Amino acid sequence: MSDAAATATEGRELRAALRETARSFLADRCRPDVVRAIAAGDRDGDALWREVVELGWTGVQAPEEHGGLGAGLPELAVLLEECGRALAPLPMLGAAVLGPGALLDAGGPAAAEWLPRIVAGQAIVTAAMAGADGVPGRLDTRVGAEGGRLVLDGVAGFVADLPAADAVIVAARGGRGEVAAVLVETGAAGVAIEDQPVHDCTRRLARLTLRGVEVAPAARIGGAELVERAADRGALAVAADGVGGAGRVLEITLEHLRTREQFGRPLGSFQALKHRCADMFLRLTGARAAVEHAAAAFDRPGERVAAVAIAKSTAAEAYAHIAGEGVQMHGGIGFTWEHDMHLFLKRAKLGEALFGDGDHHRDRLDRLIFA
Amino acid sequence: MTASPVSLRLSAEGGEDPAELEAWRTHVRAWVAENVPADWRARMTGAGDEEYVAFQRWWMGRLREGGYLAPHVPKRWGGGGCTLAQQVILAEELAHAGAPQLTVTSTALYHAASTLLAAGTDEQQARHLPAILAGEIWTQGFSEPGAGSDLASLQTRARREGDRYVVNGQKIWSSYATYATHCLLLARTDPDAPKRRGITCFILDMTLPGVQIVPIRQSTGEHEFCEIFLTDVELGADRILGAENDGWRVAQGTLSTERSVFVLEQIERLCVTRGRLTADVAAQLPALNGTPAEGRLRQSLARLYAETEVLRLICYRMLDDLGRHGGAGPESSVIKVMFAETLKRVDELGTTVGGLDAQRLRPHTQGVNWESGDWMVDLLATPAWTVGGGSSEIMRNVIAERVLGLPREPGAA
Repeated sequence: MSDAAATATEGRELRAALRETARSFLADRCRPDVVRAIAAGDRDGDALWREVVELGWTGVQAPEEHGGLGAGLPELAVLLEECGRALAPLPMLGAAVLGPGALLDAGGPAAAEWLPRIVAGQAIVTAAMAGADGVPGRLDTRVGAEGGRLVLDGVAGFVADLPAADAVIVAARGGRGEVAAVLVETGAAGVAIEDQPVHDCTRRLARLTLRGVEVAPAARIGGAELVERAADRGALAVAADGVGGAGRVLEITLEHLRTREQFGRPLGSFQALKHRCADMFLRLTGARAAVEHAAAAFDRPGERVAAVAIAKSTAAEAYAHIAGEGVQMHGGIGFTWEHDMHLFLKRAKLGEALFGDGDHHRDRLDRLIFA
Repeated sequence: MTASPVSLRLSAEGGEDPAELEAWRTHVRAWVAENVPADWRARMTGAGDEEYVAFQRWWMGRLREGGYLAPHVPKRWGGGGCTLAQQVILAEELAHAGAPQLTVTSTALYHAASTLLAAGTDEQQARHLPAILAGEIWTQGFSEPGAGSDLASLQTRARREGDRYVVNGQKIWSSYATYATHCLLLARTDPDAPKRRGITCFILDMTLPGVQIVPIRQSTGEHEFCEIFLTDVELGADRILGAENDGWRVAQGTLSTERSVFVLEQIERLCVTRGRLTADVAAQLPALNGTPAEGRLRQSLARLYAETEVLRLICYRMLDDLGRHGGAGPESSVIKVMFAETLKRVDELGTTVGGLDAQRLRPHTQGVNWESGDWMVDLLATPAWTVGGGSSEIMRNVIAERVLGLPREPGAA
């Protein structure tokens, strides 16, 4: 076997091992009743989170010198997929994706200071890469300089895992319109965090308000490129979550259609339903291929934007479609609070809107097509 | 935009030297640049049947001389004897250069050749493979008027009389049968056996007494497809491919490696066609400047762009599976549906963008599969893909039952 083949095989084996560990761990510790309890706030979600940190999930991207796994987005995507399957109510977006990713891009003292703490579960760093409406590319935050300090003002909405975060990397516009990424500790004076409860009870989002927040110049850890990459990492994470969630919805739905009898035969023997299941599978297959490709292509020059735009629009829309079909095919019970199907549907619909919806990403593709 | 990572992955898995593979690509590209006539589309526009078949034979000859004909067939039979990675590169280069597709001989080169390789006797292989590589035209006698998508219910009967079979029945949707000298024929040899059993695959010589061919004029005005009427046609037992009553399995077994590479080439060609669609859309944009229609059009194009890229990625996964395990996963059924439906949407958008001008009747390029350059003609031809080879509806049943494990419709065999 050649070196390239050996590396490819190694990567595949690592991902398979991660998937197996994650799936069995979540099946054991993150059962639907636990998801509901954590989401409702009546159970200590921190205990589950500590175990996740122990497993090294916050350190997948971080290099070994910072205590991480030194792996990449393909491996992280596998974990996110599994979290999507399990509807895991964990701050993975902030703590495992946005914060570590942006800090790795930034490098330097910020990475050295925060990454080891993130990997060890002592800190959560998230990122606010959008405006008040949460759409990437629009910013409602400004950064100026005053007496050797940077001063931030403005708002950012729907920031993932912000309530649990110790610091947030904020995308803000400078005086000449340039974009800066500034690391702000959530305890700093002038920082206000307000929960933004959403229908999806498995995720925590919040609105960040900055009023004359002062930070040292070294807190500016990057520019437009870091911001765009962070938003793309978030989009890819949600897309991967969608592949896992959609796959699970299809499994649950197929199980129901195989066992539930109506008119004297299993529901799944009706062609009208079979064709819809086949369409769910078609869309899932496309979503999986797109996400796998985007994770692998993320750091290849010139490939990221198109690959992420395709993955996000394809996978998030597929998940929303599949979850909607799952509800419908369960009939009345699919519409009850007791059944899990609505949890998937809500997570899917939030994911569809988070980090730019399908139209947003197709607009990005459009700009590449006519570039 | 996406380069092909799959050929390199396949070469690595197969222990091939990546540098040698890149040399192969350079070699193929240079050959294609030198050998594809720049004016072939113009020459085939409004061409007559004889001109068209002559051109196909000429192009096949060029490919054979270059060593690029039937890359999946071993060299001893006159094929290219290429590795999977080499086949992928060849398909990509031919597609990207807009080279002519082999249409008239494609059943012979793909379906007949692979069936012969998989199920033929030494004598059958020696007799037919070199002839196929030399340009023998084959057609396929699978579908019947009463057994299209429900192929297993076919009625054409081959009755055994001593050491011969007497065949009676009717076949339909046989491609290029007017030019074919041979036909892969499915006929029922045991009428009492369950539907899928009791079918035998025969090699039918089209010049035998009792074989009558009637072309079907399609909605595009062309007549690629034909009906074949069989009246007391006598076949020797040496004309059986595989075992008697095992024809269903023989016919199903042909969707293998070379089909996957064929599909990849179609997808790569669709990505080239997408470029033409983009140019057509770009031409419309100034007139729509700032209107809601502009936004809709841009979104539609971006959506198709994403769909074609996803199709390509699924195909890479299928080829990866082939490279590693030697078999295609469920992706092959998925691609069958998705390719056909994406192709149709591309042709629909092209036709919409063209407006009334796209409705004008004008001469179009002959025998180019679905790449005539006339969106409306290509749209009219899409049933060859959405219905042929198992309709999208049948493929959805296949996915639901064989991949997802849902129960069969009660009453279906």
